Amino acid sequence: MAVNVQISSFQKRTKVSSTNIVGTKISALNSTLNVSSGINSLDNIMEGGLPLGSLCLIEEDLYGSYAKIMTKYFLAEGAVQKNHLLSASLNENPWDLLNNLPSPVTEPKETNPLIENKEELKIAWRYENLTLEDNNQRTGNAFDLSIPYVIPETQRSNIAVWCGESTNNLQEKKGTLKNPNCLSLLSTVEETIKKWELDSVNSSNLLRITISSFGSPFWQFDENQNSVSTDFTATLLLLKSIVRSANAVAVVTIPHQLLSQALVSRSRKLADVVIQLKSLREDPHLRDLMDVHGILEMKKIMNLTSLKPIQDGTTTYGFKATKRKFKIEKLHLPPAVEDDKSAADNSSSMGCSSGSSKSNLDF
Amino acid sequence: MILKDILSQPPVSTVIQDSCSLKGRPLFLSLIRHYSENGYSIRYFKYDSPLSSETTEMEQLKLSWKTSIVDGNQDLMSVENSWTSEARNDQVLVAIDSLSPLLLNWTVGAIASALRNLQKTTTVSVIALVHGDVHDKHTLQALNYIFPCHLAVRRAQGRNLCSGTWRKASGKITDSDEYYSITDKWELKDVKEFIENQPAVMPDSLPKNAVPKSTFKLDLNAREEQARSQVVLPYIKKHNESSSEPSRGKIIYEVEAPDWDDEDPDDDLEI
Repeated sequence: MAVNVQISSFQKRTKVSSTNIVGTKISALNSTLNVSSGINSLDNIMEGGLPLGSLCLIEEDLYGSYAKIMTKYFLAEGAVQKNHLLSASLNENPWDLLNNLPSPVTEPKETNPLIENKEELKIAWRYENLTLEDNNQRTGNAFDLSIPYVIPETQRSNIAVWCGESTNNLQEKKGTLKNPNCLSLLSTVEETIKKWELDSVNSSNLLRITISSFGSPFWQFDENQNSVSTDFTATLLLLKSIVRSANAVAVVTIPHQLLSQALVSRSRKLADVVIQLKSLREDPHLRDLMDVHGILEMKKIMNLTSLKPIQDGTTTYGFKATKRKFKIEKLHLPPAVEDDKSAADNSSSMGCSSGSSKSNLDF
Repeated sequence: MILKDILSQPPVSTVIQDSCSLKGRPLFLSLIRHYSENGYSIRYFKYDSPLSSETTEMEQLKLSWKTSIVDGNQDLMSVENSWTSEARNDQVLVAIDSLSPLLLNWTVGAIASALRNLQKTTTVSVIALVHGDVHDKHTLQALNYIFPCHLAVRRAQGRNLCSGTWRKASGKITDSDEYYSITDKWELKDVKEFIENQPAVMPDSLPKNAVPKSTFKLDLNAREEQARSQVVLPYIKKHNESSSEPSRGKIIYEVEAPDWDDEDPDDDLEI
């Protein structure tokens, strides 16, 4: 009997060609191309990093020092991965930021130490001979903040900066955007993308854009009272559309304490990823958290390719910034502990203990 | 301790905010006098119309100054140019007395840009006075953001109190509250730290016997703790005994008398 060889219309699925854009990884969760933010612990939270083509908003802590560290990590990762970098800042000279990036270090493989003091484990003695495990596996580059990174000469040609428009250049202000700084910034971004051809299909590199302290007094958003809010949000929207249509990721830090709450909420809705930093100095309630330097809240992580939200529940993390490292970790709230002073006052909770309180309600 | 340290270092851009309760000019002038004695030349810009007392103060300090009245019709550029033209080298300090008339005519943003343009040409420091009562909170907040060191002076408990924040270039942020007084010769003296009167009830570390709040008694007194330490845990002993040989699972079964029952269970049936 002749065997009918039917050629079916189903074709064997060939393996998706791995990404050929430098510095990106395909996310396991939703197949977007994710760009590492430079901070390993942050990448772990965000499934590999920021999605390519997204606008990330960082709401700075007071005076912005920790946000600056995060920006430095982002740029340093780009320098190591040989991406293009565009750093824009009005607060300071962007080259000051670029010359002080953390340098990559290869951390030696730490042989995990054995649990040393055997006498401690009276009850859990079965664990005596096991090694301490490190749950935070390091995937990706590690950086050292105390050593400034000397960017190699070949990489220097991939860097562009924007440090404000000279005031002598008065352009005609047609259109909705009136703020000259914003106009200049957006045109610089567009020119940079065209220059390095990052909007073409075959591009194999990406552009990391950082805008430091967008909305600070130096940007002069208050110049024309009518257009304060429109210029701010219009710039963010235009930036997002530029970044979406090219191989680029933008990280914008805003001093949200100086801006009106309405403006901040509108920016949050616009951006794809919103991270809020709060240092311990700002909030006296946070003083109980002893081992972290501040709180990092993931206010929003947008899933660009599907409807399912990414966040798994916890959105509040703590961060520690030492001289060498910036790390994000889970918050450990201190246990609600009785202090001796309140013990005497609070008779009901000490009801069963030795009668040191003087209330008549003791039994 | 900002006031103590600030004088021993090269000048830092500072804004001094005063109010009706206490004038900030004495502190402002004492800082300027200190820097001028350390070899910095001061470019003093006075935008407040001087009172007669102030005129004599200026003459005492041998500061040359020229009052300029600013109005909204003028371009801020000309003001800025007057600053930059004077600030040629590093040993120059720009003193602005005060920023308030400027802020009333122009926005904070414009002034911030003007100050920053000043920084672009040379790394000169700016010491400015601002009258806190005249401006709104948002403006003052923006000023505090722009200047790395901001001090606010007020009267407290009969003495002059200066509280402020200093953001150093290294990233360290210092807060302080200090008493101070100014002598006739414009010297800063009696700088003492101001301690809050409220007792801070904040345990620095958890006490040794930390237990969560509950109605049960979970902690131990000394006798109970001692008794606990003397408890012999059963499996520990055995583990120590058999630790020399590799542990194998050993089941010891002692055969007992066989459990046969001679009776036939079907005897009950009545078929």
